[in-house]
Amino acid sequence: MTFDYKNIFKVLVICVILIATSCSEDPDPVKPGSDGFYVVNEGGFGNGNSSISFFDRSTGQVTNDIFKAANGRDLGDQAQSMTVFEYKGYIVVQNSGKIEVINADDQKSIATIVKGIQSPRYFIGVSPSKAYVSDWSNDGVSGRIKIINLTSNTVTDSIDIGKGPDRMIKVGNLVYVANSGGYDKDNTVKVIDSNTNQVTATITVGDNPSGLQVDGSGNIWVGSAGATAYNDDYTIDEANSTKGSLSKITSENTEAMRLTVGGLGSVSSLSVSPDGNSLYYNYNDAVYSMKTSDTALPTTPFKAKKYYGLSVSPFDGSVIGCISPNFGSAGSIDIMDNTGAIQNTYAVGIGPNSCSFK
Amino acid sequence: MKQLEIIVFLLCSLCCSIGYGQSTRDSVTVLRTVTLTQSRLSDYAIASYRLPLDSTTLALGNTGSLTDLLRKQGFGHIRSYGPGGLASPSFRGTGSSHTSILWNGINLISPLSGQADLSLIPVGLFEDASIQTGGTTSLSGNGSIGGTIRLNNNLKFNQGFNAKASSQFGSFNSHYHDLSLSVSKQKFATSIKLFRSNADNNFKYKNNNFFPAEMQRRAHSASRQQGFLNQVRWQPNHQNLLSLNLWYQNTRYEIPNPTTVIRTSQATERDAFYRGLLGWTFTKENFDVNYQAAFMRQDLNYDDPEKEIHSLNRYNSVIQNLELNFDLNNSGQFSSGVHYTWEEGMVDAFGKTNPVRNRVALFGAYKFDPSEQWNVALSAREELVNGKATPFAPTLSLTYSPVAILQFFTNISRNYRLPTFNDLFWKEGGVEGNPALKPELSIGGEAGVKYITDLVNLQVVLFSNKVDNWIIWLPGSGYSYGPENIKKVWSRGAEFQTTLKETIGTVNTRLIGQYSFTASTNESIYQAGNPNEKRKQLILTPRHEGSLTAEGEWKNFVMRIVASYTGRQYNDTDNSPYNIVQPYLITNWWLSKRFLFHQISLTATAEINNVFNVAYVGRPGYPLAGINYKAGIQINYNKPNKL
Repeated sequence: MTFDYKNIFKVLVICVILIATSCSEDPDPVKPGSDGFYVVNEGGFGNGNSSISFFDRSTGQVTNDIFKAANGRDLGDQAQSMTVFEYKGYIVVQNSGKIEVINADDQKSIATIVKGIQSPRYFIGVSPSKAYVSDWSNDGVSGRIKIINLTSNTVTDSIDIGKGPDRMIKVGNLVYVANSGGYDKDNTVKVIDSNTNQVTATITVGDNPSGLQVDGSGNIWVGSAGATAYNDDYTIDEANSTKGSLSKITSENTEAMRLTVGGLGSVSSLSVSPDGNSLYYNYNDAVYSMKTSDTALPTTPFKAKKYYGLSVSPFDGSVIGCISPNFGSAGSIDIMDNTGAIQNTYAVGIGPNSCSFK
Repeated sequence: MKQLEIIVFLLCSLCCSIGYGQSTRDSVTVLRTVTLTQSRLSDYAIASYRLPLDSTTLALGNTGSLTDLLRKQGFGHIRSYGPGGLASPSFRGTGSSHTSILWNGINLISPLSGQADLSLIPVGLFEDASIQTGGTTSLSGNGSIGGTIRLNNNLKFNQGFNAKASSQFGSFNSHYHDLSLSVSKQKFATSIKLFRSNADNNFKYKNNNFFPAEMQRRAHSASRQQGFLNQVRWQPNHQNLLSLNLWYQNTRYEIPNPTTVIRTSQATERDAFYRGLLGWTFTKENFDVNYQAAFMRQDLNYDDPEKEIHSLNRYNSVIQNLELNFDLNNSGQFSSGVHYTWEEGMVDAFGKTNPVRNRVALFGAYKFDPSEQWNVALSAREELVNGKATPFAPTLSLTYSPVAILQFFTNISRNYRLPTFNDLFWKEGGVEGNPALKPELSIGGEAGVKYITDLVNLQVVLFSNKVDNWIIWLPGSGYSYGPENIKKVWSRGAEFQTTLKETIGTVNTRLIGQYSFTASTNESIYQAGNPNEKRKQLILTPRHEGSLTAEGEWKNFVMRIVASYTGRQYNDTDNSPYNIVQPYLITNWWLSKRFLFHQISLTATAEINNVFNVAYVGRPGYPLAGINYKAGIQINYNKPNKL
């Protein structure tokens, strides 16, 4: 038997070419409206699939993957946070070790800040030309605040701050930094004079603080994770572990009150209502809410549901819960009213952790 | 109950086989001479789709790892982090720990991770290798759900003195050298093979992980390997054969960051293994006893000065296999025996204790030909892990050949995979193994046809396989992570291969086509999971893979071109349009020329990889090299024994 395999060959080659060229078109880039918020989807650690979604309040629609749509490239590995400042979006991509600067109108890249950045967490603008970025450093313990020149988009200097600097807030000229411990343990909130870039005060709070908010009376609230200690066989060492807590810092930069949760577990995603009178936080796979005038922690949850991240809209006070089931596929957000009733649920990217408001 | 089941099965099959054997005792008994001390259990994989690694591939040079060899064969289904990086098989839409790798019948899968890295297997060390997709041999035991790769050492007797040396040099400072010496007499043979390889892998690629994008060299991606394999075989008489294999190898590789991580990694891994295998075969007229004892140790030192991580992961294992094989003259073959494995894990993250696992497996297998056309093989295996029964693993295989050139085959089997030590015992800051994990269980079947003549070889197979209790790691309460037996996967599809041979003038040509369609979907949604994951293709599992190979052989020249296609892959578990790895078609070219001078043969080889300089990634964030080159030379000297 012989085969005329020249023809078979041709057919096979054509098949291969057809398969090779039948890939789909990229989705059209979208221009989200100016009124709404971004959702930071951190993606699976090491998988480089973090992304940004945008919720448009005028249409009530979510558009996913807007960074790639605008720039034709992936955002990077483990986007930790995004801050909109002076019409620009600063996306802090922790494991990539960079800050992507985009135009907040069309999401197009303006610059990428790489040099001098190691393991960044959060961004805060302190003047039109200057910003701070909290950075854990590659070893996760020698944390620094990186000073960014917003004109050149470069790191100009840094400030020794503590272990695992996390969220920051600015009150007047003072910037408060929560030292979350990084890969180790810390229990301080540092205060920087943003005019001189000098640390002017250190406030001791519960172990591993990461959340910071200012309430309507000018008090600063700090959410701490507590620290879990382990025995040699990696079982939990209860005696040397500390619980999560919520601290109130007064304008004199002293800790006026510390409320500790019932069991081991962190107080995380601390958020404040637009009127500054209510706080929200995650603890033990549920959302809790309390008044800033309360002197004890609430015992019944605001919402008995596990959210990976939490944000409160500064516009209408709606509470946005980020659901990240497994970091391998799309997560979602629940938009709740101030009673905890879910108004809407939207699919977003992989591992949503927070929202950033325009 | 499980134990009872297996004992009954073994007894029944033993009785049947003896009865069958006696009725046909009158045929002539031929004195058999054993030449191998390895397991004969692969004899029972009669109804299978196999990819033999042919001799022309070896003529193109057998330098490099198993990954390189499979690339030469146009065989896909390898998930690679790039040259020198981890490469693991993924057959028939299953995971990287669902293929067993047997070295002379001994499973090389790490009990810690459940994986074996194909880039750590230099093909030059083995006399033959074969790949079988599908789980047709539940006799291979733990993990043989997607397929089985067999690597064998079977140094022949009476071949005289043989010396071989080869060297190969290529782009990105890659080089490979080996030397092998063997003495093979009537009753005694020994060989030693040494090798060393290096690759810097500092190729250029476009890095668009920042704005504006830049052409950059891949950094911190080098690998270096060296090792040896020593074989000794002694046949004191026709009845006994003893063998010893010693295999040592060490590897140092730099672990690059994915390109999405901008800083240069400082992590390195040093891997060293020690493998010793003693074999004894005793043969009598119609049966043989095969005993193997193996000791294996693997050390994996991970070092990341930047993150201050220095960890040693070690495992030790002792494997003993006792196998009885009966040749029932013309009526079939029966085997039964015990596999015993002791394994110990020594990993910092396991805490202060070193977990140990004792595994005892009983098996029985029987194959016979009810008629000229029909062939039947039955086998079963039951394994006890620390005294606890694992899923009973039977296989039934049938082949039917109405004419010599045509064979229909089908089989059905039940297989399992044990949880790894990492799955069970890992304990470190919120990341916790789950000691209550059950083995994964698979039930699968396939049906196919083979048409084989001198000029045409065609194989088509359809398969379906369901895996239950598939182990995945999930976030638990708070920030904790842990594994659970939660996923169900259904993989089904088709594999096709054809080889057409024709001689045009004095040129022998071959055209080989391979194609596989694999739908491997997640069939379960666990609590609070994403409902859109249901019925979606598994992450990084292409539906379409295929290759086309054209080869010409003329006057000691061999030329081969292989074009390999990998279809679109999803980098998430809900198959969103946002995380797609685009399809790619990569073409490689090889040329070799052999020169003969009396007892010396010299082979010169050249290869061009990624001829069309396609920019592509093996996995997201892990770019692979553009066009690159290799050239090498191999000298072989043979002096036959004096007659």
